[in-house]
Amino acid sequence: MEQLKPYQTKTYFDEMFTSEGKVKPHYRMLHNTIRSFDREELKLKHEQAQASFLRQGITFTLYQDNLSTERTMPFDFIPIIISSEDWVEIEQGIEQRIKGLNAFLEDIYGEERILKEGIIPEYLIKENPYYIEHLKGFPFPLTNHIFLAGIDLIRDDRGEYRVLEDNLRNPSGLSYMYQNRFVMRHVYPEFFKEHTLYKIEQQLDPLRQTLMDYSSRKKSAVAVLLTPGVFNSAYYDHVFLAQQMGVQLVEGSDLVVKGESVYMRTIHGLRQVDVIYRRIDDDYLDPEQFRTDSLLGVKGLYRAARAGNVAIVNAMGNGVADDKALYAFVPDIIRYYLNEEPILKNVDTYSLRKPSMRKWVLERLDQLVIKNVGSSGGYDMLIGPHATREKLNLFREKIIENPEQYIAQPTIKLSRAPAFQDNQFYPCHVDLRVYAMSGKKVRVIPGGLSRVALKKGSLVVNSSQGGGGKDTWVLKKGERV
Amino acid sequence: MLIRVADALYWMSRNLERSEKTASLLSVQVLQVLESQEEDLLVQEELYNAINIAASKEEADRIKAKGSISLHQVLSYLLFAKENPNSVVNCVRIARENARSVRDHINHDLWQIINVFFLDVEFAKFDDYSDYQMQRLLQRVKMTSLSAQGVIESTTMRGMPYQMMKIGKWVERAEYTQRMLQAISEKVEEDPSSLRYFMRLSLQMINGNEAFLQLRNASIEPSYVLHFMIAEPNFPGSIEYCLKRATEAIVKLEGEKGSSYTQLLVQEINIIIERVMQLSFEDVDLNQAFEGIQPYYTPLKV
Repeated sequence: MEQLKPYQTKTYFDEMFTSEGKVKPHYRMLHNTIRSFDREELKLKHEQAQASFLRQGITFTLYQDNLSTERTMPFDFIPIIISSEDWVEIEQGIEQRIKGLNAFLEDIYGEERILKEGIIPEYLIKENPYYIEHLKGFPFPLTNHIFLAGIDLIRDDRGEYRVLEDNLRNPSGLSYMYQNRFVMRHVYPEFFKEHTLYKIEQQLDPLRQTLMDYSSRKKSAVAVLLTPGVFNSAYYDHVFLAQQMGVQLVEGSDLVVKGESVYMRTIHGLRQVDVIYRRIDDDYLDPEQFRTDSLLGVKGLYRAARAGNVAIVNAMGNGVADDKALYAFVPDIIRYYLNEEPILKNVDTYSLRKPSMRKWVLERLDQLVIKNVGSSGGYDMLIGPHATREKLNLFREKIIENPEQYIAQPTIKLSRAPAFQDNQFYPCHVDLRVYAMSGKKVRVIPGGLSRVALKKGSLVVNSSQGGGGKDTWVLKKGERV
Repeated sequence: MLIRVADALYWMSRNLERSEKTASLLSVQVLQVLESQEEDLLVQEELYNAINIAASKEEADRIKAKGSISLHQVLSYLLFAKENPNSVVNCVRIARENARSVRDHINHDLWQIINVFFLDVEFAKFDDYSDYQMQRLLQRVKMTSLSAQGVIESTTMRGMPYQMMKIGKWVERAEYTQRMLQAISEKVEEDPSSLRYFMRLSLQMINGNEAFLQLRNASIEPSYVLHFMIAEPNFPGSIEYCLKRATEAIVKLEGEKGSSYTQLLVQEINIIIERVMQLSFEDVDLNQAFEGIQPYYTPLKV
């Protein structure tokens, strides 16, 4: 096996190497450490790390052909290192974005100023499947809609961070961010030497505090995490968060609504619940209000929340703000509510509603990325330069048939970082999901979940489609590099 | 504690205990068969017993009706059969499923022990197993259950989840001893001459041989052995010991006065007691031994 050494970065931005083939200053120490290990040691450590995830049952559930399998997320041991200067930008950018999006949600379900002033076309909201009309005038606790957000960032070919996607409903993966670090500390302790990082463990108590911010009863308030159950693909995430925040993990059948208050069924009778961090989608939350066939939700939950007796976070109706069609307007949203220029830029996005734009896009499908505005996880997506003729034609038909359902983006040259798989080093595309919590104030968790497309040349980082994870370090200021 | 959580902890604990008991039973059988032939009548009786104790009488009869029972059949049915809800594989899977649904209530070490155990057993290929590997597997099942108990004892907070796990464990263990006694007593009824043989065997099957031999009067006298298995206050496999510990756990969970929420559990325990009571009418020896322990059951009947 060859050692880790600079490769051709080509036209991509590389996290570790410069285009001249030098190791970037903030990676130098790590690079030397990795080179000090021989093939057998690295292979052994790699296997230890994978086994550790399996042993601990840190898995996600994959559904295919009605069968479910528990999988571990492939782990790559070469961390992504973020310099303290870069982190300042990310942190401020994310905080700004959350504040803007929150103001937007409060407005959409309130006065609708932004619509009345014509900044955002009304149809984009009112025809949006995630918009919930009867939430108008709803008493959102703290007038806050976003308890936990996951903002997906990428770096373009010049290394500039850009927002790829906002996740304001039920962003998953925070547990992987922690477990990647825990496994890293166990299996690769040598790598940490002479680095000073932000500790992510210290963010767990604030997370609990932030959740409790939403309770109206101050003393002995009870918060729970509502999960669809063990069969949900993100169940491990739910377990981890409940455990770390010290709240009960409950299923819909554990809760009951009586007289517009929510209670959980304990062996000693009913106990009132004040805050519900739900990991169930809006549609399934309350069969009385939303889908009547939902077995996961709690009957009467909506009424209880409207009466102000329970806080539901993230708030209902958030989907209207993290929708791919609305995404293009987020910079305007930030300017409108905060009077600030967006710190983090978007990826250019073309709406296909206008015939002229649609024509332009259809002419160059093979150069663009097409996404379904309603889906996530890398499904129903076309990556033009990598697609077969059949797939291009398929998407052409889809767009013509249903233009509102799709958006187009230029193929971003996703940045790359070295990975070690199958006993060799090679560059893989990466992105970064940054998590932020928000209650009485916004707090960005340093680092994030670096997702890596481990298949050679692949651009899809989603864990459901062969993507893996990396530990992500944020260096503290003053770190010698 | 949520009702669902209490339920899951109880069944997790019971299934762990059950897997250990089945493995112990099989260990004894595998060793017994080594020194004789499978076709041996007594061995056939033992194999029948193993299925009777660790699964059901119906199943034992069903297999017996097809001809002679082989050790391989017994091992495959009790260890690996998916269709047997009490096979070790199924017990471990159920224990793990329950543990997984209450991961936030059990500590990480306990979860890991159960999860790793599940991964090992689930993917074991029985058909390729040599006798030696089989022994190793049985030993592994036993040691896993014991280390799980060790982790519970040394690290778990003495709160409600702990008491729920205790209740599950002691109820399961009491039931096992009772099932074993019932099976043995049926055999003794059929063939009174093998009484002593079965007495020794039953001590081994509840892992009580060594403990019994340490007693002052360690002769394999049926009335001593029966008393030991049913009412020895210091042996953690005797019915009395198990039920007392289960009751203690219920009292800790509910306070001295108790509450309506324990009714179901108390009912369960009462069912076991009733079964033991029924035993006493079937066998004179058991009846004699029984009188001594009756007072202990009285406080259970709240």
